[in-house]
Amino acid sequence: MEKIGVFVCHCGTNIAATVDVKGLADQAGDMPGVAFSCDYPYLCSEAGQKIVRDAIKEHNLTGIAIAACSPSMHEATFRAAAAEAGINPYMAEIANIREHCSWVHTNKDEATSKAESLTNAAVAKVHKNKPLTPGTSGVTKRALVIGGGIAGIQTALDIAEAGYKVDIVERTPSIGGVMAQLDKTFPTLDCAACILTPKMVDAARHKNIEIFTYSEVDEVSGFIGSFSVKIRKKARFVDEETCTGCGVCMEKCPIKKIPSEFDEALANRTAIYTPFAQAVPNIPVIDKNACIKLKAGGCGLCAKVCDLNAIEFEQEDKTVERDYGVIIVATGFSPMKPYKYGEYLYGESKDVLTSLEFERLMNAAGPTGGVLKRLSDGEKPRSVVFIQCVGSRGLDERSNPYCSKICCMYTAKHAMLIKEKYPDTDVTVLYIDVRTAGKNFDEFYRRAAENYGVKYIKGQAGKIVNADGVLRVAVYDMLENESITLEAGMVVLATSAEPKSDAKNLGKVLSASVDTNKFFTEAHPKLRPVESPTAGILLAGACQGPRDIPETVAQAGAAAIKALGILSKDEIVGNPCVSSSDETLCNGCGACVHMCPYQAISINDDRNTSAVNEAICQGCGACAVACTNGAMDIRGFSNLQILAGIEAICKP
Amino acid sequence: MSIKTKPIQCMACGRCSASCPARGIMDVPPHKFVKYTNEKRTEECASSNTIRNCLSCYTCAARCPRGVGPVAVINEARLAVLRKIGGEIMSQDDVPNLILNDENIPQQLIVAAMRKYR
Repeated sequence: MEKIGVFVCHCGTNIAATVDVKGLADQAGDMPGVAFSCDYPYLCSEAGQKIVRDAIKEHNLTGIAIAACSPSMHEATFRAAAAEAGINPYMAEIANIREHCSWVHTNKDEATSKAESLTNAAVAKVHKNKPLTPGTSGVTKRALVIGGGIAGIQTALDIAEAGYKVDIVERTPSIGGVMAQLDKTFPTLDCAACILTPKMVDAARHKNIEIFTYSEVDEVSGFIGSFSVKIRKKARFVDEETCTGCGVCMEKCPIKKIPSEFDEALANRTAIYTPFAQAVPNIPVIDKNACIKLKAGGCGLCAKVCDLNAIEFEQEDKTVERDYGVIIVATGFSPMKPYKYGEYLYGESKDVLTSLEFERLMNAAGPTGGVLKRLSDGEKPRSVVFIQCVGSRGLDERSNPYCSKICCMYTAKHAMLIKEKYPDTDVTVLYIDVRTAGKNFDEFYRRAAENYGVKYIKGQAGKIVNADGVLRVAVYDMLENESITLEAGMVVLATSAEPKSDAKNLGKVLSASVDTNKFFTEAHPKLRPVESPTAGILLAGACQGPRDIPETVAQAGAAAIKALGILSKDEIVGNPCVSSSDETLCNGCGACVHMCPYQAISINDDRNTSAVNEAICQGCGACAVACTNGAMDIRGFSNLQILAGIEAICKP
Repeated sequence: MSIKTKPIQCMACGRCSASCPARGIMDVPPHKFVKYTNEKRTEECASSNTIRNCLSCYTCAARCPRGVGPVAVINEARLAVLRKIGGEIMSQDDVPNLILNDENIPQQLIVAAMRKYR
C-alpha cells in the first residue's frame, strides 16, 4: 500500500493569489493513499525541500506529489529531494498548478477546483509509479566539429587545448569559412585575415586536431558518448602527403575561366586550385567538372609539371569511419543571392552587388586588388548606395521573416572603408531601422554618419533603373516626406543571412532539429543556447541564427566547454524514462521503427519483435502513439499511469 | 478585386511609396495611408486624394515585404467613401459626353472608371 505525501506550494502569490492553497492541502489529505499533506510559501527553497525530506522520513512515505510550478522548472529539484530522503526519485510527481492553473485563470473557486483535479491526477499517477534506475554508457574521448569556419576552428582549438582529440570536417578545400572572405571586421576595422589566419595555422598544427577538408559527413549513428560517423573524403586528385603547395600546377593549368567560389564569382580560378593564397591546408584540389583530363582524357599538364608526382588522377572518394563522444555543428551561413528581387537589377547590372561581393571587391587580395571600381566599365563610382534589409524582415515568399542582425554594422563598415580610401565618393545608406546593439557598435555607426559624412536616409528603395550606366534609385525619404531619386555608380544590397541550403539534411543525419527558417534549434533559447535538443549534439555560430564574429567566438567557447563536460566524464547517466517494448504484445510490424526520429528502435530478427536502444531513445513517445498493439510504452509515462491520472480527473 | 491585407504588419520601410508611380500626385502617400489606417484616422484617409489618384496598379502590393499591400487598404477606403449616398463623382449620364469629347477613348477605360468612381 502506497503512503503518499502531498505538498502544496504558494509560489509567493503566484499560486496563492488564485488558488486556495490551504483548502487544497486539506482536501489532499482525503485523497486515496495520502498519509500526509501540507502547504508552504516556497517549496523549492532549502527550507521547503527540508519539509519534504522530513515528511518522507517521519511518515515513511513511499511517494510524493508536489502541487507547484511546471515540472520543467523544478521536477529535478524535488526528485533530488526525494532521493536524498531515501525513496526512488521517480516516485515524485508534479501537479502543475501554476502555468496550467493559477497563471491562466482569474476565478479563485474555479482555479481551486482545477488545482484539486490536477493534484488528484498526480496522486493517482504516483500509485502506478515504479522505481526506475537510469542506465549508464561509456564515452569516446574524441570530438567532431562539422564546419571549419571561425566557429568550428575556435571550438576545436578550445577542446584541443584542454587535451582532447578533435576532428574538423570542412566541405570546401580549405578551412576559414566566410570570415576568410572578409576584408575588415567591425567595430575595430582590423583586417579579418590578420586575426583569422593565425588561428587557421594553429588548428592545422595542433597535435590534438585533425582536419578533413574537402570532406562531408554522410552518416551518423549512435548517441551521446558514442557516435559513429562516416566521413566522405572527396577525391582531391592530389596526394596530401607529397604535395608541398608550390603552386606550379595552378600556373600551368590551361582551364582558367572557372568562376571562383571564394571570390563570389567576381574572379576566375583554374581547374586545379586552392581557394585562396593562405588556404589551410595549402594543397590544391582538381575540380573534376572542369578538368579536361578527368572529363575527356588528354591534357594532364599538372601531372607533367609536378616534380613530386603528387597528382593522382585515379583517386576516388574515400569513406572514413570514426567514433566520437560529442558532435559540434558549426556549418555557418551564406548570404542570400537576391535573384528574386528583379526591381533591384541584381544579376542584370554588374554594378549591383551583394555585400559579400562588395567585401571581395574592397579586399586587397580580391579581384581588383582592393581598388573600388565598377565591374561594368572599370570606372571608379562617384556615388555608392547601400540598400538594407534585402530579403530580411519580410513576410512574403521572397524574404525571410527575421532580422539578419549583422548587416547594419557591416554596411557602416563598408561605408567607412569607401570614405577612408576615396573621401570624395558620395555614400548613402537606405535603412528601415539601424540596429547596432553591441559593445562599441552604436558608436561605430555614429562615427560613419558624423565623422565620415555617410548619408543615412530612412526608407527602403522601391526600384533601380539603369539609365546608360547610371543607376537611378527610387526611394521615399520617410523623414523628409518626399520622394527622391538617387543617382548611383554602384549599389550594394545587404542581403539576408541564410542557413546553408542543406542544413535541413544535415539536421536529419544528426537527428538535430531545425526551425522554420532552417536554422538549427537550441535546446532552450535562454538556458541551453549551445545545445541542440538531441543529447551530445552541440551548436556553434551562425548555423543557429545570424550572428557576428564576437558572438560566434563566444558561442564556440561555450560549445567547447559543454563538449568538455561530456568528454571528461567516464560514463553518461541516461534517462530511465525511455520507451520499452512488451514482447508479448509486439507483432513486429515495424511502425515504431519508422516513427522513431532518433533511429533508436530496430526489429530483433530472431524474435521478430521491436527492441529499443535505451541510450539513443529520448523518450519522446512517438512509438507509443504509433503502436497499434499497445506494446510500446514510455517508462514513467506508461499508458496505465496516464490513464490513472485521467480517470482521477474525470471522476465526479 | 481584393487581396488579403494586414495593415498592422507594416514596419514602415517606405518601399510602397518609393515604388508608387502616382506618389507625386497623392497628398497621403501609401505608407502614410497605412499608418493612418492603423491609427484609425479614418477622416484623413477619406478626405485624401489618394483614394482617387491611386491607379490600382498593385506595384506596392508586389513589393511590400510585410503582406500589407497598401493598395488593398486604399481600395477599401475608397469603397467606404463611395458607398455613402451622394458620394459618386461620376454618373452614368457623364458617359455619352466622355465618348463625344474623345472618340479614341477606350471603352474599357470608361467601364473601369465607372466601377472605380461611382
